[in-house]
Amino acid sequence: MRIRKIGWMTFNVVVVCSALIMLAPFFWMVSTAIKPLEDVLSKVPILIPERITFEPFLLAWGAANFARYYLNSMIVALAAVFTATFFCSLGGYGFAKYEFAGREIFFMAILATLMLPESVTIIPLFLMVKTAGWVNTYQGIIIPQMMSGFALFIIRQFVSRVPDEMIHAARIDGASEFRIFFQVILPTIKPVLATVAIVTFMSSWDSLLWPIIVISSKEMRTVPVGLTIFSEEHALINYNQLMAAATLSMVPVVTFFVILQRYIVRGIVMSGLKG
Amino acid sequence: MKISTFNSNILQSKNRRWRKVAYHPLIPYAFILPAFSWFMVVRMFPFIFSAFISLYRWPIIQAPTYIGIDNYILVLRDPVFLNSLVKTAHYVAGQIFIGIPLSLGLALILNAVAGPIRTVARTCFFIPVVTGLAVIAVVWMWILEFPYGIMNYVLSFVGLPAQGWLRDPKLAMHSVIGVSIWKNVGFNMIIFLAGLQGVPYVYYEAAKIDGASGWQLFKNITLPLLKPVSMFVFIYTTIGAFKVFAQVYIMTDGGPGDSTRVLVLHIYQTAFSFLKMGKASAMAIYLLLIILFVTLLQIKYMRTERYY
Repeated sequence: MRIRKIGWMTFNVVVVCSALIMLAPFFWMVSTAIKPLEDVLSKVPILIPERITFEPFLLAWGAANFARYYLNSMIVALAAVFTATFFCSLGGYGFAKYEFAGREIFFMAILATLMLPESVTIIPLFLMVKTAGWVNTYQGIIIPQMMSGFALFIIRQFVSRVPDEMIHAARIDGASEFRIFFQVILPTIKPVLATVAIVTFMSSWDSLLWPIIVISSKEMRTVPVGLTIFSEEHALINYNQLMAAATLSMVPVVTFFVILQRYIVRGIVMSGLKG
Repeated sequence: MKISTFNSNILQSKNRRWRKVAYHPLIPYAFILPAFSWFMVVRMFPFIFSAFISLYRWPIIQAPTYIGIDNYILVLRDPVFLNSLVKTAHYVAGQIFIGIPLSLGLALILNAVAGPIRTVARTCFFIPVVTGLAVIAVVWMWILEFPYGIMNYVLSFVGLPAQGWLRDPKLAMHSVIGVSIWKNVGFNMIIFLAGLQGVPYVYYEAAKIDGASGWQLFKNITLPLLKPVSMFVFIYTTIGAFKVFAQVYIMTDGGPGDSTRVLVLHIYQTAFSFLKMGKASAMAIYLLLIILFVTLLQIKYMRTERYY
């Protein structure tokens, strides 16, 4: 796009300003997290902390139990990532490369469920989980996050581009169907798997509505739930601890993102361009 | 598909040696079984179950009583429900009519800016997108604190008085909308950016030779060619906006009063605080219908114009 001379300066300024607006709240979060309480509650906000303390972080991690919340979120997220990537790859491959009776109908059925808002499933899901005795357990938290329609779609899309000849060749060489899946398909679709893994991880780490319903004890809380309850209990007071907890909560996802930007952006662009 | 004609011919072949090459006809079902059963058990079945529950009065502590469609009528008369419809509509409107043009504008600007600045800016815009809702809600709650939150401090520089961003019923919803826009603008921007980069430069050149102005370039080349991307952004943003929960739950919990009590929050509270499972299920079904209706409208509206 042609860059007009006068426009160039303005554009850059706008970009830089907007980028700063995006980051400013996080700076303020960290700034609050390393202040002693009196400085946090001062009437005139102290932008750059004069006295620094890491005690809020220690308190958040220990007394406020965030270490445990982290562990729980990790377990849940990793389990969700594993099941989603594995089973949706199986499914994506099945839908993409095989023809079988009812293929379209099955696919439509799955498509239909993607339109359902979470609200319409949580009540029965809670009753089902309660009957199974899985309230407040890891299984209970993980099961509604186990798969991802997005993953199924994207993998199916990608797999349909794998040349049929590769599969034929493996078949003629005598490979079993599952062996073809593991040794031919999976290696070929690694980029998509990476995208799916990251997106699923982020979505699982962030989920709130279901965990809030199914978790009833302090030990089983995931990070967002822990953060929510902490903010309810400590509202108006321990903001530095709250911000420290928030900072800790951000670390995994943002780290993943910074390292693996390409895949995430590609995943989002793929879903956008293919509709 | 080539592969299946190959195999079905082989399956029918009487030649035993070739038959061994084909795969067992049940294999594809094995592949899709885990994913498909999950979607049915965890999504389809609960949905149908929900529809059933909505026909009952069920306060959980007692057994359910059948009341037919009474819940649906009751809900329509519930002022809090009607209010939540209005609040949700307000929220959705904010996301669509402010958030989307903002992200498009930023995409246009970013598209015109050179490489390194663009990449760094892109990362900056994306950090709110990937950061968890709980973190963002909590941080903004602190920023918008009255009267000593930093937002009010910034206001004082411009000479404006401190506002109760989340405490004033007139401002609360706007604040929530603003926070969500702040979070999501990067997401839509990236998608628009990708779409913009798919517009062949030659179109602009040709139009400029014919003397087209900047605005005409935008209206007659950029917008039409962005149609598929815009459609996705519109629909995705709308559906996501109808389902808003976490930010509202953490920042305002529906208050002050009922000024931010959006639909999903009301459903959650009706079911798990007031234990009215039947009523909540009916409301959830209404939400589903609304989403379906609005999405179909959007698809229909955007399909009426052709693009090249």
